[in-house]
Amino acid sequence: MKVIAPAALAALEAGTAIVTGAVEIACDPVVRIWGGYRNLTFDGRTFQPVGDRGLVQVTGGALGDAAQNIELVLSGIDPETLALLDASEVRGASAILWRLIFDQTGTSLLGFNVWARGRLDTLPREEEIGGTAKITARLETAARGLGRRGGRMRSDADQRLIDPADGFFKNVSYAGEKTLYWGGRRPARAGSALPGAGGGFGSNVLRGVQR
Amino acid sequence: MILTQPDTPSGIARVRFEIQRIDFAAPEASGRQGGVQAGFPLWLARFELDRIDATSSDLWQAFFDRLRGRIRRFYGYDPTRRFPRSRRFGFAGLVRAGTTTPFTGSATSWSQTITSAGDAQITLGGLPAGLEISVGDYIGWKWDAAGSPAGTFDRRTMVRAVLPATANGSGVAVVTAEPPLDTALVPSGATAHLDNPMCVMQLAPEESELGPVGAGAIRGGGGIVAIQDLRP
Repeated sequence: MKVIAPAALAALEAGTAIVTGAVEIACDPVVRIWGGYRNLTFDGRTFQPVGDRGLVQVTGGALGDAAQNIELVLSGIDPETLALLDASEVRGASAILWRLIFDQTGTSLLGFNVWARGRLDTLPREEEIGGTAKITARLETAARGLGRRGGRMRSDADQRLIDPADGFFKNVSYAGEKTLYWGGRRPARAGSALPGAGGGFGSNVLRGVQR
Repeated sequence: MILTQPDTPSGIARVRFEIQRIDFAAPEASGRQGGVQAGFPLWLARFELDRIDATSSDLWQAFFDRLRGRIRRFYGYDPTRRFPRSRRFGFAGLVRAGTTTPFTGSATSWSQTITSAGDAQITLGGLPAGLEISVGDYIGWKWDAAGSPAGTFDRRTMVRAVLPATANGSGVAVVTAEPPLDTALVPSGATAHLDNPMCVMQLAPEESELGPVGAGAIRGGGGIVAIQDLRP
C-alpha cells in the first residue's frame, strides 16, 4: 500500500498538485535523477535535475491485470542520464521510482512515495536524425516476476537450478496446462499437449497423464 | 557563450511570452476536470517578424547563424516591456527611497512569500519611493553559475506581475507575480532587477524560421520560438 502524505493527498484532491518523478538506479556510480531544475534532497538522497516533465508518465497496467514493465524515457543527451550507459553493473541494477507531489507553486515538496521498485531490464538507446535522442530504461517490477506466465516451474530442470543435487522432480512430468478429452475425436494439438500420448484415444491419453 | 537577442531597427512585430505549463488532465464524467500538472513552468517565447528591412534582416540572420541551432543560448526578453510600464524609458533621475543613490533598476533585497491562497508575493526593497509596478511588468533575477566569474550573470529567470503594486515611502513594494519563483533554485544572493528582465532561452529550431529575402533585401518575415533553459 502506498502511503501518501495528507498534504499531498489534499493537493491531489484539490487539483493543485504539481507532480514529477525521481529515479534511482543502483548501478555504479548510482544514477539519481529527478524531473526538476535544481538539486533535490529527500529520503537521504540527492537527485540531479534533468528538467524532464514526463518522468511520471511511465506506469501502465490495471489491478488484477498482468504486470507491466515500466518504461522511463530519459533524455539521451543529459550528462546525468548518459552516465547510465557507461555505468558498470547496470545489468539488472535495482531501480526505485518515486512520485513527487509539490504544492501549486512548485516550491514545497508535499510528499514523496515509492511508486515502483524493480530491476533494470533493457536499456535501448534511440537517436533519430533530426528528431530526439533518448534512452529508454525498462524496469521489470517485482510484480512481473511473481505473477508472470512461463516463468520458473516445478520441473526437474528448474529444481536443479536451485540445487543441482535435488532430483525431487525428476520423475514428474510437467505441462503447464493439460486438457483431457473423453471420447470424440482427438484434437490435433492433443498429441503435443500430452507428452507420450501417442496417437490413440482413451487409455493412451490417460497413460500420458499418469506417467 | 550566451548571445543577446538582437535589437533591430524594425523591431519585432508581435511577441508572446507565455508561461508554459503541461497538464495531465483526468476529466470526469461529472464535468469536473481533474488532473495534475506535470513538472514546473517555463517561459516560452514566440516572436513574429513581418517584412523586415535589410539591416534588421542581416542582424536576425547573424543571430540565427550564431545560435547554431540548439547549441547556444540567448538572453530572451520581452521587447514590449523592458522596463516597468510606468517608466518606459528607464529610471533616469530616480533615487532609492531615503538616499541620494541613483536607482539603476536593481532592488537591494528581495524575498518571496507564498500566501495561504497560493499566490507568490515578491517583496522588493531599495526601490524609489512611489515607483509603480504595473500588471504585466517583469521582475528579473540574475546570478552567476557555479564556477563562472562574479558578475557574469549567466543564470537568469523572471516573473511577471499579475497585480499592480507601488513602492512605499521606504522603497518596499510587494508584487504578486507568476510563475512563483523557486527559491531553492534562485540563490538568495541573486539580484532582483526591473531593468531588462531576461531569461536564458534556447531556440526551438524546428519551429523557428526566417523568411526568404526578396527585392531590396527585404526579408519576408519570420518566426522564432524559444524555451527557457533553467539551470541552478
